[in-house]
Amino acid sequence: MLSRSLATKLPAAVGCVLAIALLAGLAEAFLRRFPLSEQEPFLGAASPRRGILAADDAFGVRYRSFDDFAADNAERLRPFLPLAAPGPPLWAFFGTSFVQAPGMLGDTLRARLPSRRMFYLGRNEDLLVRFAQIALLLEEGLRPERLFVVFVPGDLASLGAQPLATVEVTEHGALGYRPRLPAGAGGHLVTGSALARTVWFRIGGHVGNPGFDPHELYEHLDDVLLDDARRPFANLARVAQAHAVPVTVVLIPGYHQVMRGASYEFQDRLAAALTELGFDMCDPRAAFARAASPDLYIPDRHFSPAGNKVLADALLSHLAARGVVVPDQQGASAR
Amino acid sequence: MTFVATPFAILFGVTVLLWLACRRHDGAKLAVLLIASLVFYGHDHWPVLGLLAAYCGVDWAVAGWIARGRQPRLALASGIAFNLGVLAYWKYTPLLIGTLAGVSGSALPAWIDSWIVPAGLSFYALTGIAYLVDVYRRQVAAEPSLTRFALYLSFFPHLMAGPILRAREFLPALQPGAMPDRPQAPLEAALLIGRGYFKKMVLADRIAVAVDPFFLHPGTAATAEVWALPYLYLYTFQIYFDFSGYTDIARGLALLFGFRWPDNFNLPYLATSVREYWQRWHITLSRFLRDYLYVPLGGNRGGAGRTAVNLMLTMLVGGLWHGGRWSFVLWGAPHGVYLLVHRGWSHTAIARTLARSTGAAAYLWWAVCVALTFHAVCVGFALFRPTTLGAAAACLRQCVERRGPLFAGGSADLSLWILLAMYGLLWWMARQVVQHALDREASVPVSTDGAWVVGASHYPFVRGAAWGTAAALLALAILLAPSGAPPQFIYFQF
Repeated sequence: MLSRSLATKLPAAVGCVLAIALLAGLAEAFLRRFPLSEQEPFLGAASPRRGILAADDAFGVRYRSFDDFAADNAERLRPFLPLAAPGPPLWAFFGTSFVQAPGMLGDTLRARLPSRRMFYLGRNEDLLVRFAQIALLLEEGLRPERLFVVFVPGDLASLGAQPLATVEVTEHGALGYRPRLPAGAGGHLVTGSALARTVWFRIGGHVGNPGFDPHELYEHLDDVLLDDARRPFANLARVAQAHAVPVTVVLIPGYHQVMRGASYEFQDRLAAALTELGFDMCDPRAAFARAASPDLYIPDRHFSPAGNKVLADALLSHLAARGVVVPDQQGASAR
Repeated sequence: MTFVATPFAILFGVTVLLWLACRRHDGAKLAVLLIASLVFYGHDHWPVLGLLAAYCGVDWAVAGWIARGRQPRLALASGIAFNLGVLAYWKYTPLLIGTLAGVSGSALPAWIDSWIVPAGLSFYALTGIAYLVDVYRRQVAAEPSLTRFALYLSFFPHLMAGPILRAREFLPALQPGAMPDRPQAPLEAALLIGRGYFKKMVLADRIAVAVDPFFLHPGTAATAEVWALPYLYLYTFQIYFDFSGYTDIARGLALLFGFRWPDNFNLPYLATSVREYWQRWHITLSRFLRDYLYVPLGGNRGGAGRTAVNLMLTMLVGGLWHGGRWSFVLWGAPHGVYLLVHRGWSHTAIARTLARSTGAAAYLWWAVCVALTFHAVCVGFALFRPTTLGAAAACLRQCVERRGPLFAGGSADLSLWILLAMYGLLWWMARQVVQHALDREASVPVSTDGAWVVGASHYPFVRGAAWGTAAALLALAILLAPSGAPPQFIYFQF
C-alpha cells in the first residue's frame, strides 16, 4: 500500500520540483542578463547605468569634471556661459520639477521678473546631485545674486530610504546604493543569485533604512534622515559662504499638508536645523493655507498657474521682508 | 477592483473561505458570491452599483414579461432599448459632444475630461441582451429568482471583461441542487490562473512600459525618427497577453468555484485568415455579434450584396462597441473589408488549389497565410491603439516609412523580445509533451486547455510538473512584473 502510494507521489513530486527548477533556472538566466530596472542602482559595477559622477566626502557625490557636466547639459547651459560673464543679476534655482518643469516656479518667475536672469536647467535630479551641481557651478564661477534651494517633503524620500552611508558611485560614474543584505547564508544567496536578489528586492529587504516610512514624512522626520540632510546642507553653507552667495531654502508644502491638513512637523524640524546653519528659510505654508483650493493643483499634484502664483508671491514677499530688492511684476523696484 | 490589486487577493481569500464554509447550502453560497461580486464592482466607486443593480432588475423583470407571453416583442424591444440606451449614453456621449464641437468649431465642455464610463458596462449590457433574446427565442427559460439572475450577470470573474456568457452556460449551474460545492478541476484552474497572471503582469505589462510612450506621441517630433512597425508588433502581443491573461484568470477563478466557462482565445495569431481569426479572438464577442446581429440582419441569406452590407455593419458595430472613439469604428472597417476579400478569394480556383496542396508547399502556404493575417490584424490595431484618427494615420505612415534605426526607444529593449521568444518556446515544448502523453492514451479527447489536464491526470509526473508550473508561473508573475502600480487591464476600459 505504502509502495503504491509512493509510486504515485514520487513521480509527481519529482515532476513538480523539476518544473519549478526549470522555470526558476530560466528566470535566473534572464534576470542575470536583464536585471529589473529598479535594481540597477544597487548592482554596483554590474549596473548598466552610466554617469559622470564621482564619490565625494562632503556631498556624497560630485561631478567628475566641469567639462563632463557641461557636455551633459550643453543645450541647457548655453544661455549662461561663460558662467562668470557680467550681465543682469541672476537668481539660481535648484530643485525638483516644482521649479524645473515647464510652467512651474522657474518659468513663473522668469515671466514676472524680466530684470533678473533665472538660472535653472530644467532637469529633475537626485537631491545629492543637485548639491553637487551647486558646488560645481560656484567653483566654476557662477555668481548668482541669490541661490535658491527648493524642495517639497517628498524630495527627501530617496535619502530617507537610502541614507548617505549607503550611497556609492559606481566605477561607471553612476549614482548607486549598497543594498542591505540578509545575514549569513541568505546574504551569499542574494549576492550570488539574480532570482534570490529579485525576491529580496520585491519584499523590500534591500532598503537601507527599513524603518523609514515615506508616508510618515510629514509627521515624523526620521533622525537618520535629518542628520543625513544636515550634512550636505552644512557643506553647502560652507561653499556658499566662501563665495559670498546668499542662499534661500524654500520649503514647499506637500499636497496633503495644504489640502488634507497633514502635519508640518517635517518643515518645523528641518527649518530649525537649517536656520542653525545660517540659511534663510522661506516657508510659504501660511500663503497656501489662505489660498487652499483644488484649483492650486493639476491632476498630478504639481501646481497649476494659480498654485505657482501663490508660491511666487510668497517667495517675493519673503525676500522683500528681508530687505532683498525685489522688482515688481513690471520690473520696477518694489522696495 | 482588478485581479492584480492587493484588495482583490483579500476579497478572493475571504470569499473562498466563506464559500467553503457554507458550500452545503445553496442559498448561502449564492449570497456569498453575490456580495463578493458587489464588493468587487463597487470597491473603487460605490455609486456604479446602482447602475449594475438597475441592469439586474430591469433585465430580470423584462425577461419575466417576455416569458409571460404578453406582447413579448414589445418587451424584448423595451429591454434591448434599455440595455443599449444606457450603454450608449455612458459610452458615446463624449463622442457625440466631441464630434458636434468639432463640426461646429465650438470648444469642448470641461466636464468631458472627467467623464468616466462605468467599468464592465459593455460586457454586462451584452450579457443582458443575449439573455433577453434567448428568453424570447425560448432557448432558455426566464430565471424566476432575482438573486440568481443578479449573480449570473454580476459574478466577479466575468463581470468586467467577460467571457460574455450565454444564460445556458452559467444559469443552470446556479439552480438549487446544481450549484457546485467543490472546485472543478483544481489543477486546470491553477494552471489557468498562473498562466493568466504571468501573461498579464510579465508579458503584457512589460510591453506596456515599452510601447506606451510611443503611442502617446505618434506623428510628433518626439517620435518622428521612430519606426512604428516593431511597436505595432509589440502592441499586438500586448493586447493579446493582456486580454487572454484576464480571460485565463477569470476562467480559473470560475473553476475554483466549480463553474466551467468557454474560452475566449484559441491562438488567434496563428489564424490563416481573418475569418478564422475571428473564430479564435474574443470568441464570445464574435459569437454574440454573429448570433445577435449578423444573423438577425439576414447573414449571408440575401445574396452577395446584402451579405457584404451585413458583414460591414457587424464589424463596424463591433468596433463601436469598444468605445466612443471614431478610431474604434475605423478599426472595424478594415476587418469588414478583410472578411469580404477573404470571402471572394476563397471562391476562386487558385484558393481551392492552394488549400489542397500537400507537403512542403502546404507548410509554405500556411506560413504565408498566417503572416498575411497577422499583418492585417496589426494594421487594424494601428487604428485601434492611438486615441485620434490623426495619430492612427501617423502610426500607419511611420510603419511604412522608416527614417531611423530598426529599433529605437522601448522597441529596442532586447529583454522583451527574448521574453516573448522564451514564452513561445516553452509553450510549444509543453504542448508537445502533453500531446505525446495524449497520443499514448487513445481514449483521451484532445481539446485545447483541457487536454493538458487530462494528460496530467493519467501521468503522475506530468501532474506534478503541471502543479509546479502553475506555482512557478504565479511566483514569477510577481517577481518579473515591472515595478510600480500594475496598469489596468486594457479591456476594462471597454
